[in-house]
Amino acid sequence: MRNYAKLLEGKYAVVTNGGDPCGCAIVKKLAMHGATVAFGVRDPEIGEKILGEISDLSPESFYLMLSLADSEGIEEFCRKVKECFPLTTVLVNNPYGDIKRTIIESCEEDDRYLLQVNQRSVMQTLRAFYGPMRDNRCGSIINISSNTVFKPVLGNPFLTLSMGTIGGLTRVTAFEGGEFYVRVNEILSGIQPGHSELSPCPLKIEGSHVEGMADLVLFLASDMSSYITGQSFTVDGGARRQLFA
Amino acid sequence: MRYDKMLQDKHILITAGASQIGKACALLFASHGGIVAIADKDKGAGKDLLHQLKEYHEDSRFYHTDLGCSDSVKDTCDRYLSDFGAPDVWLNCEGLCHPAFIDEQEEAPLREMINLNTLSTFRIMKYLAGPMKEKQGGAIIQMISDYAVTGANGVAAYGATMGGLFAMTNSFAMDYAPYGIRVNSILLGISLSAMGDIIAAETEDEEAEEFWVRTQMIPRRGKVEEVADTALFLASDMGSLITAEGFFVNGGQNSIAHNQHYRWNWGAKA
Repeated sequence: MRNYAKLLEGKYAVVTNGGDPCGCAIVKKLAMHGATVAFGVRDPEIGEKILGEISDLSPESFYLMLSLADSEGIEEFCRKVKECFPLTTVLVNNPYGDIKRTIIESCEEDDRYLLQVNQRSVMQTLRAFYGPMRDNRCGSIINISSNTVFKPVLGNPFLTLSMGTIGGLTRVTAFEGGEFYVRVNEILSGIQPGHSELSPCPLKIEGSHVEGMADLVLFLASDMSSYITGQSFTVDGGARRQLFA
Repeated sequence: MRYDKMLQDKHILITAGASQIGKACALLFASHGGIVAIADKDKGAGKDLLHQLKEYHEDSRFYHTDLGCSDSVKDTCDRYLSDFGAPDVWLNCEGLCHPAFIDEQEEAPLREMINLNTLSTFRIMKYLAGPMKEKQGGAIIQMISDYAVTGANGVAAYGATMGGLFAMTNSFAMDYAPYGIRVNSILLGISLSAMGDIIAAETEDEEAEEFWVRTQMIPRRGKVEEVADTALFLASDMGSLITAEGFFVNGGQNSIAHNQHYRWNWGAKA
């Protein structure tokens, strides 16, 4: 019988962005379930705070300074994590890029920034961690994107543009990794980057929204979802299907 | 939430739960502290399972029910509501498949599938919705074939009944979301359905094995325990943000072309 209280016992996990409310909840959840977690943050104070909260549960977890806008920084982050971890079996891509400008207001610099943070960063970490997972025939990759891919919001075209490709990338990686027991799934999050609650939705929810998000990441990271790959899960309290508000 | 007792003291009703996926879910839910009641047509299997469930909780129940008969469904719902009140979790595992090409499909088996796959769910929902609304919370999970979304050759009528059930489930979700009731579907792949049993029984091991490799990302047959884990996620507070969603548990079958020759051409297998 599986130990449901320690679903990731002995596993090594990487979370690219542990600095926003969702990323922070995810890091804590994975550590609570026995994983050793390496996570990126832009603010060392937040990194220290998270580390302080999980040090008893997962003493070998650590953070590294990481800006997803810095392509070389991501390569360095991946290299350092691979030096410290014998084998990464869980990878959570949690990009945070969000610029609220209309198409007319936006400039090429915005395009480059968002495509790097939300899209290229995912490709870079996949390149770094997918190979060893495949060689060891074990791994779960979770790419977090935004539910604005299906339910666009006005004045935010670049979030949809940059996140819209993550689903396809998820499915093609899942296809490639399937027979090597590397599972790859996508979460279309209704919690927008930097926020701690879902955008307005029909479901009456009790409890923390970021905890609920972290629980889905835990489910996909663990063997509870061992027959699930190449899928996209919408976490938005039913907002996607709401016809009459 | 205690992750080793995710359904502690929750009242759970599983329709068509005496064997296969329903049974795996019942035993897992009971091991997580749930008080499980089973409704099923198979008296022998139901009683056997009840014996096992009572080891977890003395209040476990078995209701002998013909889900295709509206009187029997009403009787079971009345008895359940009188025994326990509104359920915290209702899991429906009913599903009947008569595969046939559309020009060979007779109307009688089609009607039987509509009755069991679609109408029975509507009837149960009708009886349980009111009390669940009053309770202001709960989780409903429908086991549905992934053909509800993808369609496939030789199962047009079956796919239609499942597609109807999927659409109905999502509408239930919208209707009851303001009351804190989450309604989701698990979309099962062929390897986990009765069709999977037929393929496994009618083909040599090697041939069946080749079929899973050819049609799925994860090249093996699924296990009922893997479905039960997904049901546990959706039934418990782990799935607290999720409603009106379909969870494909099918080894990635829906995300690739059925006739997957290019896996071989591409050379990943070589």
